[in-house]
Amino acid sequence: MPTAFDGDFRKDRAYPVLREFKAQTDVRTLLKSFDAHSVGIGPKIVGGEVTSKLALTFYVTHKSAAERLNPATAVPKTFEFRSRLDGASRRVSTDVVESPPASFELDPKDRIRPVPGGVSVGPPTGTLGGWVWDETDDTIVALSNEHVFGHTAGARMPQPGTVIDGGSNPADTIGTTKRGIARTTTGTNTVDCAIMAPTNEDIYELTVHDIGPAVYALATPVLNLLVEKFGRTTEHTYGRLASVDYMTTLVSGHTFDDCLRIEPVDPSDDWSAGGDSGSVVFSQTPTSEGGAIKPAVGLHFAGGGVYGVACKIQNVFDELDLTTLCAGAFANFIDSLNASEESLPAIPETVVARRLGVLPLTTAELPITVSHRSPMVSWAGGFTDAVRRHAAALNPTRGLARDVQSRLQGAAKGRVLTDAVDTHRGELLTMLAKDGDVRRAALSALRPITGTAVTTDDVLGRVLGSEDVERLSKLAEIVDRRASNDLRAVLRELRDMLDRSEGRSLAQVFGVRVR
Amino acid sequence: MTETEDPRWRAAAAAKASEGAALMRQFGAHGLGVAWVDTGAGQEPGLMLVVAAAPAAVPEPVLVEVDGHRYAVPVSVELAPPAQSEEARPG
Repeated sequence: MPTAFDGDFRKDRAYPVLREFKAQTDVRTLLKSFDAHSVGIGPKIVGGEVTSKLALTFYVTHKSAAERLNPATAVPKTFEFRSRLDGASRRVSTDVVESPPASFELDPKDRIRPVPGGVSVGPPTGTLGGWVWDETDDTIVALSNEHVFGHTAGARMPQPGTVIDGGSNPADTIGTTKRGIARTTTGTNTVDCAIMAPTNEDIYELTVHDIGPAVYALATPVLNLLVEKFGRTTEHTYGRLASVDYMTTLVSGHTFDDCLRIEPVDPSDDWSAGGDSGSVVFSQTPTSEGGAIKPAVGLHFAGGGVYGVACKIQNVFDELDLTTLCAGAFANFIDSLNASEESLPAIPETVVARRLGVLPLTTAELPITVSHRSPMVSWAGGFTDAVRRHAAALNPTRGLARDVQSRLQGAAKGRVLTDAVDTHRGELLTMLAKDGDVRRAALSALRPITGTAVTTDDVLGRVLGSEDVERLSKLAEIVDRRASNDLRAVLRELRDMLDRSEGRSLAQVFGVRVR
Repeated sequence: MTETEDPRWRAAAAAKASEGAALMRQFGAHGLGVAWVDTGAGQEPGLMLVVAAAPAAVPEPVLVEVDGHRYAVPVSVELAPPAQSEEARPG
């Protein structure tokens, strides 16, 4: 552990130089270049020890080993600049420290709007696990336990919950129970799960507090996997999967099988307590190195002593016909390319980004606000039952994207594209939501290809002209400039395919047979 | 070798499927899972019985046959209270 720095750094000769460099420099651009979330002046840490040398310290979520760093995006050991005081050249040292980004402190038992995962909900009071995609009608819904939401459609759910936390209906209602899987005491259960439809699209915040954007990915649980959850009572705790096909009979007499047994690991002494029911359990390992998306593996529903029991998330998704936000949202984005622009509502860009969980809770320092009329806006702005039903009625080719995706998955080259989208969906979705250039380039490139299509063969059989290739190349180039190293590597492969695609159909490019 | 490739994990899963319910009844267990089990000579894939009170007898390994090979699946006993659903409760 670093020792305390006991020197008065303000007397250090390097301090004013560092201050001047920081003042002269476009710090936001630097942060973006190095994938850092914060920067400050502080003592350099070498081998875990605090030195007396001052440095410009960059704080990153994940620090990579030196041999794995990309020289183009690595923080240089020093920066050189010309002082405005005397015109002389000056040099400042740097340091990189791994640290999670700060967030506003939140009490999950309070009334919170919009509502992230991890907070108090329901009668009886449990945890709203997170926001997921309902495949039955393409809407965003909240996931928790059946013993929190119940399984009777229409039951009003307040946030915070009524028991202990003081929530009440209708003042605190955030939605109604949509459906759930009733538990049995006569047979064996595998899930304790239910979903709630939000009252409107202003309700949801597509993150789980302190964990990150969710639920954007799933992972298969394996023994000893390190996991974490954020729940209403014990909040952020850490554990490991001690058993992945756990069978247990609860105090209530309900028997469950094919579940996860979770034991706490440092720094947690206890995995969960009453009120944490419904918390989504995540792998501690993000889907890509340095990424913000952590895959869900379970849905916590019970505990005894210090251990917890969770349903497998795949069982939950299968039983309730759910998918991740990205899988559903991408398909709808592609589908929405066909929608008539005039029919779409105008929604502020910042609202879109916040709903997607890509903006922090405060928007005070963010540019507000340009209204758009674009499919992207409709796609992100209207995932309640009523709006989606209306949108579906306007869009006769709904579902086309999923059908094309499944055809592409049947071919090796097609899988390069679908796997790229699947692996990097959080990153791509964030770009689409936050970056107008990416969004416009995507619309410009994809709309001519899917815009008039009715069948999957219409899309796959379309021959790419020079203008198509030019627009797709531009899209790839724009995405490439913003992409992580992992995504950039995949993009290179896709751009190689694109270079040879003029005059060929998408089916030929990706090796898919046209029916 | 991954968990799905190692036949010892399949043996443990087979033991759970065939003998799990009987083991739970015999030892009054409220939980049972396939897990890493400490055999004294290291950790091996086996069955973990979770009981509220220490049983009088130590469970014997469960003999199962997987892909023509016989395995003695070790069984460990862990003391822990039974789980209950975790809604918030007044008091």
